[in-house]
Amino acid sequence: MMEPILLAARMQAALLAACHMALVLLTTPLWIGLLRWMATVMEGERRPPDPAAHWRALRRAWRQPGVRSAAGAHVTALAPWLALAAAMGAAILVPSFSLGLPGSDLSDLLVVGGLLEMAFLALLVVAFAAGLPRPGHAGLRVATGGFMLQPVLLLACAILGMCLPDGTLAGLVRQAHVADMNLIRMPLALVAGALVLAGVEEGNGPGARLFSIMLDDLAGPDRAVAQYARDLLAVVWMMLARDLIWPESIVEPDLLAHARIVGPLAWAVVLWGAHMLLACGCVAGMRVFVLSGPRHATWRAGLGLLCAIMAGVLLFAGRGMG
Amino acid sequence: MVLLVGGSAVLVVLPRPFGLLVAALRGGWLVACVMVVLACLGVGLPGGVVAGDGFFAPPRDIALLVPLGLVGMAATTGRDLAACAAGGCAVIGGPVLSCMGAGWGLLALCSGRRVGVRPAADLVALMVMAAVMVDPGPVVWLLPGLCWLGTRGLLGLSLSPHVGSRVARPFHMADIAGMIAALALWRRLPQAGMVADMRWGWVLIVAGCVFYMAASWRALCAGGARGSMAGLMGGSGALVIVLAGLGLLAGADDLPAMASAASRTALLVAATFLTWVFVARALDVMEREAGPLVLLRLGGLGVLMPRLSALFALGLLAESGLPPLLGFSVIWMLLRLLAGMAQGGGVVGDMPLLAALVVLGVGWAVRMLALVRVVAVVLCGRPRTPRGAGAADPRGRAMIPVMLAAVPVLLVSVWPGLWLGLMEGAGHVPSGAVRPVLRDVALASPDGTAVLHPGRLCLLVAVVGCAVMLLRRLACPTPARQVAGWQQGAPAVPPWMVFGDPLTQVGPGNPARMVTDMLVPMPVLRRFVRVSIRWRARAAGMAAGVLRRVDWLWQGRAVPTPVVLLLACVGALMFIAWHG
Repeated sequence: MMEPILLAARMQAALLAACHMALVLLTTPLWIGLLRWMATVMEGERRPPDPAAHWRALRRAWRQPGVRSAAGAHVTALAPWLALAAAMGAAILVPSFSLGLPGSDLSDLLVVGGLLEMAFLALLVVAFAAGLPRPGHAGLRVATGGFMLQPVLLLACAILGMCLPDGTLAGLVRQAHVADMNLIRMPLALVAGALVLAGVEEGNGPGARLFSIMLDDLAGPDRAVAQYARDLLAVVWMMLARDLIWPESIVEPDLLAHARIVGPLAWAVVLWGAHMLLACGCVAGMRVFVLSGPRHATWRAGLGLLCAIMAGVLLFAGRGMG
Repeated sequence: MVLLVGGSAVLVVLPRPFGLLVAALRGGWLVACVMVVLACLGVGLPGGVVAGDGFFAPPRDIALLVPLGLVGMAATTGRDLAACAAGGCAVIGGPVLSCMGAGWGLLALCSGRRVGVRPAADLVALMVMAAVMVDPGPVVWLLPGLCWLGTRGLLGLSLSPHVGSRVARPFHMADIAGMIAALALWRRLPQAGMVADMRWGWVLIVAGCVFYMAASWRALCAGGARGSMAGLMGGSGALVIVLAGLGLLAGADDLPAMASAASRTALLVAATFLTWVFVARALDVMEREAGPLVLLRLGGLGVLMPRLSALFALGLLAESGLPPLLGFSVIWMLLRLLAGMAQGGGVVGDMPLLAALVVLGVGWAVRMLALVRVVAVVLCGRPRTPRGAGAADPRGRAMIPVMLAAVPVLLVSVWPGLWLGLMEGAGHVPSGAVRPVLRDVALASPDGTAVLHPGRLCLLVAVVGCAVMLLRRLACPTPARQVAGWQQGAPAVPPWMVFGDPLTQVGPGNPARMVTDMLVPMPVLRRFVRVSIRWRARAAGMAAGVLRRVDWLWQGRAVPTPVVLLLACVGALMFIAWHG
């Protein structure tokens, strides 16, 4: 009797994983295009770019013939694809609209953050591989700009581990369905803000310029894959932040309740889209109004660390009073 | 073991290395390693294990001989073998013998010019420590401090940011043996009758985090690959201190699950020493092929020696703390331990925990930057010297030892329960029964609620990686054209300045400067340095003046008795406040 149910559960998990990955991978250029469009509108540009322009640029880069620098060609041929693999591994672990994906017990915040960090480092290696001064310098500036990611990640994992018994995203969603989350919502929101500040460098002018300098000596599919991996990185960080702030909007499909499974799932997808739109707006606003100026990297690191420490202080203060 | 120690002593005394003796000693370490593995698995050995009657350690503490045996098998010089023999004494000995072994290790690690001068304080501390461990009197609470002092040279604990050749020691195989000896000493403390103390626990945790950050900074600033690796390894040594502090804290709070988790994490840190074994072998090969490992002269080894560079990058990944390899398991366990130590005492009570996490995180970030720098300068780019351009992968059988040295790390990364079962198995299982290590596939947090499956994580990464590589194969059937790098109209960079002139241009050769630039604006930093130099000169002048006056006052005078009494009372009050 157990065998068919187990089989059905596995098939359902595989189907959900396929839907989740297709949703995330196909909408990634759309979110990044919208984010850039919002940032340009907020900067007061008269003619904001088309949100679909980013998708077209990626397609054009993919269709170009492949060219790469002869120095370090072995490394450049692999590193963008490694970055894509690490970012996809992280994207599988972060739930978008539904629980019950195959690797949900691995969805520890430290695992997801570590995989995203690995993708980030692989993109840096693309810049270093040719050994030229300009891309190398740009790569190192990007690396120091993301310097505060590790302390923020450690603090975030510790805080999530204190709020939840198992510390995984799936556990957070399950707890959100049965318990009142309002006590820990503020620390978790601060943690989400800190992670987005430390992880996402999309949306401001200098970041995009540095990244294009990093990929100076690359054209063709490798360049398109590197750009796409960077976009996917930003989208997964935003998805992670969204899951920390609104875990209730993710549904947990029950296999035994045969009816009415499609409606809640569709509603969860719609909610995910709305939340991601909001996250893009928040990131664009933060980049334009808070983190602009010559010392934006310092502000980014300092604000990220401050948000994470404030989350810890709030959590400890609440526990002490409780 | 006696043969090994004696042979190593003879090898040290000999004026020139004696190849046959080195080979015999390496074979001896292989035999010792196999015997200890058998003893840990519960297989009865003919003659049994010598019972610990005070001179030798109890049989369950000898498991650290397994990593030490692997280090001894990979050792090539007399100094490495001497350090291994010293580490063997520290692991198998009782209180006196282990302290003597640690002292020998210290002397073996220091170069000839500084023998007896630099580690004098460490040796004195080890001597006092042996006395306290033999006869635990009222000063037993000093043991962590003594152990800290005695093992700081072995673990590379230092707050100094200087990386010059006079202060920092480059990384060699002998350092790994010294670190295992220090770990054995730290694991010996709870059995030495030491009362767990919460204050010592917090002091050790915070000090370990600061040491971690300082070691990472040294790794970032070092001028050679060996110096950088020494800094990274100092970070592992600092983690030993942090874990010892966590163990003391758990003992003071009476949390046996937490203490056991801290001990298991220390064993995982011991497994990361295996990574250093094959990194040291790879560095030896690189030095032989490409010349001295100075970062300003290295470059392009990823293209010239692809197989060795891939292994080296694997070792760096395992040390970086990123998933899915062993370093990540250590960071995960450490984080769970630290999160479990929250007292629930409000903001003030848990502030040290928050500070420790921030310092540890900043140290981790600096460590990652140091790794990025090593990869960028050593493995990426182009060769900068003719000697470097002639480097090539070792052919045929020469590559086998390096690859074999990497196998245990991969095995432990995928299946840490195997290693933990082996290490904890000695003395726990009756003779003849094999411990069921198969059930420990996952790592569990101290309270048992959070579980990490490193094997499944490796599987996930492998599956996604294979899918992406398949996609690449299908989507890009034609290889990309390779062209010369685009120079932005600038004149071509000469081959010995790949990233530009390191002195005038901030390049991957100087990320430390970029970090300080990001944290503090340059004019402010310059002003601060100027003011600090001025104040230091002023303070030195004032101190000299005070000393002169004290000398003048001191002539023919005695300190008044009330002052002496007052000072003694204050000292006694401080002692009582600390002691209880």
